[in-house]
Amino acid sequence: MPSFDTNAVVSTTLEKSKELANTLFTKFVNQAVGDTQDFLQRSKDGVARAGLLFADGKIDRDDFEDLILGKKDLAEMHALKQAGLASATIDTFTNGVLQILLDAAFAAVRI
Amino acid sequence: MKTNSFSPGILIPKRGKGTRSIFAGALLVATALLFACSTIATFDQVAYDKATGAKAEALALMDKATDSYSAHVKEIESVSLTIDKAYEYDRGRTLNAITVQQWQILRDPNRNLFGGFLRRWREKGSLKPDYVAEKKTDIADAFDQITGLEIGKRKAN
Repeated sequence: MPSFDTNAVVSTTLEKSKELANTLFTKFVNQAVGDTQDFLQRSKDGVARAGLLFADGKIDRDDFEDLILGKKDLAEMHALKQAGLASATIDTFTNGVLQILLDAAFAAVRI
Repeated sequence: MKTNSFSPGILIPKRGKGTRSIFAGALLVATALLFACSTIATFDQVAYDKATGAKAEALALMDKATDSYSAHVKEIESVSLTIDKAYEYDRGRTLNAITVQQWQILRDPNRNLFGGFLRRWREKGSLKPDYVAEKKTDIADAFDQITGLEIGKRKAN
């Protein structure tokens, strides 16, 4: 008589999914924080350079404004990238959980 | 620990044969359903190559913006076409709305990245070297936001 250990499937899936979530999302958060810090530093340096160029008369007010407004557009693109990377991480997690479930389910089948 | 053991009724053939294949079939359906729940496109090498190629062309063109706009119209049109092709390619992919939004910001002549740069070049005739040098770092960064997202997309299974 075939049998199927549902408790084993559920507990294995939950346990391994927790480990997967911990690994994936910790890695994502660390990368996102590092990437954002780098981005903010680059933006800050860029604003400072633009300010100096304007103060030195090497660019006009119009150029200066464009450079500053460009940072705003860049920040928006950066935020979109992070949103996309978060979605990709969620997809990786979803598919990982599915694989764990499949593995646990096959392991639990007793024929 | 006590476990639940059951005969899955309809999934079990009368003679007990083929149980695994029926079970696997059911799980494959579940797999298909979960894959249908993807939230973003998977990595695409062609899209990545188009974006990196467009970046290289755009930055090379920017170096010429200290000259008169009218002297470089053909090159400007050529680079704009390269960027349009990359954008249209990404626009044709499913679950790719975020990358499309990034391209729209980069290309928009009423904003302050590459589209805005070309508009200013056209309006002013030529641009100051220090401005161009500074703007190039921003445009390079903007393309990197697009390619960075593409790289971060999950590999297709």
